[in-house]
Amino acid sequence: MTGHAKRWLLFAVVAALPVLFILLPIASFLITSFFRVEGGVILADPNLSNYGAFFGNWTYLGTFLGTLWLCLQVVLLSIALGYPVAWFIWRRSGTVRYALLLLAVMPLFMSYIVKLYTLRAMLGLNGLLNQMLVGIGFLDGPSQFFLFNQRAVLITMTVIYLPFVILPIFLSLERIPRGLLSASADLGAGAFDTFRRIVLPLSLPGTIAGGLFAFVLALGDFVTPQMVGGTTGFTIGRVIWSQFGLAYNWPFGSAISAVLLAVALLIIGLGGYAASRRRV
Amino acid sequence: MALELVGIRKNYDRLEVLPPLDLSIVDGEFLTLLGPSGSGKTTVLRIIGGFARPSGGQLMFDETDITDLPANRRPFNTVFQDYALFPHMTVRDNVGYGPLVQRRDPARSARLVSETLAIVGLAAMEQRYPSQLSGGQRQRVALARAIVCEPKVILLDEPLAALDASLRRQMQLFLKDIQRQIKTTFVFVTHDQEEAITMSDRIAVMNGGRIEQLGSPRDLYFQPKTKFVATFFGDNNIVEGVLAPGAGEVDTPLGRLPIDRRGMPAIEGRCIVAVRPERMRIGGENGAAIAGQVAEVVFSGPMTRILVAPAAAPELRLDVRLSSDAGQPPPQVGERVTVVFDPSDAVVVPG
Ligand SMILES: Nc1ncnc2c1ncn2[C@@H]1O[C@H](COP(=O)(O)OP(=O)(O)OP(=O)(O)O)[C@@H](O)[C@H]1O
Ligand SMILES: [Mg+2]
Repeated sequence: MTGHAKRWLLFAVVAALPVLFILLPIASFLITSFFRVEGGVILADPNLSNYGAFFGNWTYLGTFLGTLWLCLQVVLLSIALGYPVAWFIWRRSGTVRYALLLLAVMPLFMSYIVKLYTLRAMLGLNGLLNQMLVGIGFLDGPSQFFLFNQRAVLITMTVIYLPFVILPIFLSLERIPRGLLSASADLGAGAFDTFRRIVLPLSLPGTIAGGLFAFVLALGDFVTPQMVGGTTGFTIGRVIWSQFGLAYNWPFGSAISAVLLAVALLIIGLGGYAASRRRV
Repeated sequence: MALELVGIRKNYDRLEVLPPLDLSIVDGEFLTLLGPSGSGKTTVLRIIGGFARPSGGQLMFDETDITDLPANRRPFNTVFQDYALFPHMTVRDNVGYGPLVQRRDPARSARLVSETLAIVGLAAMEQRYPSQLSGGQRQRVALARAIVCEPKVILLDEPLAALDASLRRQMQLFLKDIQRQIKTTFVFVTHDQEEAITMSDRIAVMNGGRIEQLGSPRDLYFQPKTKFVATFFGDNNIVEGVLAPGAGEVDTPLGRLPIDRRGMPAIEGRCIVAVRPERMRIGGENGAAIAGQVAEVVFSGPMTRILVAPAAAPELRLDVRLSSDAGQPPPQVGERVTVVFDPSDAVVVPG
């Protein structure tokens, strides 16, 4: 075999995996989204009726927009909680720092389902949260406020995706040369000025990356709403799931997935653009 | 006395990096801390700048104790070795950072920033980002960022280390020129003795955390007080010997060499004799004479370097520098010669 052919073979092998496991499935559902179902059978005659049904029906569109809003809240909340945590870990030194970091990312190694059940138990009527709030006298009795609604979905997703936000923020903080902080102090800046003018802008790319992680993960999550969302915590993920699993309308499910994918790509593109505009 | 280090010590855990150290820095002088790697130069500078706490001792500035003053409240500014420019800010914003965070008057600051950029020759590049600048230009930004704050002292940690030789020489003159213009005290760190000689009013030679000798470049060059200074500072012919009390001669492997003891500390016993290569001659009368054979001749433009193997100790080499002369060719390799120096050019330090 010539060197040229060998190189092509190697390239083909390396390219095969992503093509096989990522591009082909995506292509397949994109194609399916133009088909239709009749009498439980998928018919391959290309048309736009699925997209028409989605955009023409406020139930679907409304759920979709509601889900986007929910995901945005997850992003904002997890950054609001994750940034201070990442910053705090970053400011420690030595063993403490790595112990804390390990602790923060530990949930990533735990089963998603276990975490969901744990949170459901904590948020429920006899859960830890209610017990604490009653204990400190904030509530008179246990409340249904935290489970089987949108709020529950928001809280649960935020908690579960927090490590995905903390980690990239920590890494971007870690990449800031310590010399810049000395230089800032040297030029007369106090801690707050240094944070606002040096640390915050330089950690923005990591913060955006973390936010994107949370957004995309939340957007595709249909299990969490199912488990803790009750009837009001309805999201587009659940709609898609029901199209595939219950209604057996794969083409329609695919069409909604395609819209979801397009929005996710758009958001990732915007985030990437915003992050790359900072000179770091 | 502008800035005074009184018994400043620094330990890292049990490692003593600086034994108690005293140093007085005069207002407006260009003082260089010179020493080999690990001798504690950066540590001293960081303590002055407020980036490291001394383990003991006091730092005085204009008669006030500033040992516990945080870095951002000291009237000093630092030019860091790696420049530490803010990558997300333009040249202008980098330079304007100090006045901005010190809440100085914006209009006056803007004018001052423009003036400073002009002084360092970067006015045309003020909208660029640090990543779009050459090493020498970044260096100038770092300097401008420090001087725009009008500090009482500017601390520079090997600011020229990353530059190539010719740019380095150019920046040396530039720095010196700036210092003359703004009349600010410069404390400059380098391990390059040539750089130290060309730029400094005074040099503190550091070794193992101690100051071996403090003085003008001329003092250090012609009157080294220790073996370390004699060997570290410029090229020298060094030979060990034994000095009898009160005698005008030293016993060395090269034979008995006459020396001039006037103006020298009273030393006896084991000692080191040092003679600068350019103070040695080939042939001639008057002075100490060492017979030998030419081992190597190196022409380097204005000077010709001749290495001579002494007859008494052929494994040693005497380094002689003659100014090159088109009309008179240097001695040939293998030629028998006599190396001569004036006893008053020989420096004797304890060995
Ligand atoms: N944070 C630290 N912890 C422990 N030891 C340190 C620390 N910083 C410096 N040292 C030690 O202190 C000594 C002096 O270091 P310093 O950085 O002052 O040397 P220097 O003269 O600036 O050297 P160089 O020319 O290589 O920059 C060195 O032996 C170094 O290993
Ligand atoms: Mg150093």
